[in-house]
Amino acid sequence: MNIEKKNSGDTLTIALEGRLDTTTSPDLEEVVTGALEDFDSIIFDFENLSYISSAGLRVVLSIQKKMNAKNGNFIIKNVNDSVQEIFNMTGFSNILTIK
Amino acid sequence: MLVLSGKTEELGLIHQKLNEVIRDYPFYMEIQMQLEIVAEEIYVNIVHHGYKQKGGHICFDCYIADECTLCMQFIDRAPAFNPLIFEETNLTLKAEKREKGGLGIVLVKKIMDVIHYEYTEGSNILRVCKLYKE
Repeated sequence: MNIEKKNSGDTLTIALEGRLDTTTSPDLEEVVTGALEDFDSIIFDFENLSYISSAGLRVVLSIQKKMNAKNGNFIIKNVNDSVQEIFNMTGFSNILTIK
Repeated sequence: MLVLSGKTEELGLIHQKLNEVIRDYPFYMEIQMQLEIVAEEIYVNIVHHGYKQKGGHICFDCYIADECTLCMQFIDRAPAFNPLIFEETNLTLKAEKREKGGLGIVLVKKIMDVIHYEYTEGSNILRVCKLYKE
């Protein structure tokens, strides 16, 4: 999986490409956890994310909780139909901001 | 049948085997990702919770049982573990109330139509099947 970071003021945009699974989710967690304190808004761009398993969902949930705790914003954009269906199955559609 | 040593690095082999079989399935493009997720969730569950990441044999098979049923089977010799008796995860809770665990089995149950578990002669045998629906 490729992780591309872009800073713009207090917003960090992270574009993911490939698969967010058991083997790759620790990489994402490391990248984001280190940056959470420095930004009020985190945006995930899922345009090129082709796969997400529960390991990826756990990272997403962890970020949502941390951003809620600091009254920050966490947005996921460009979600494809397959990934959206996984969000729907797990009820994540109701706890995430998906645009 | 694949015989694996219970390492997460072998996940790619499972997906490779799965994709070799589902190419012949009539609607595989629509559910390829979902079946890969099911395979990952079950395999990783055995590796992490069954064998506690110390490794151990896991046999994986994938086959088309009939023209409208695709099955995956996992056999391992970790302590008896029935994933079906796990407490249901509440999917309506707010993020703050959500626990990290339980999502894998939720996905398996939501995606697959048949889930059968048995513990026989020291082996966990888990078979999951997807039915083709028009």
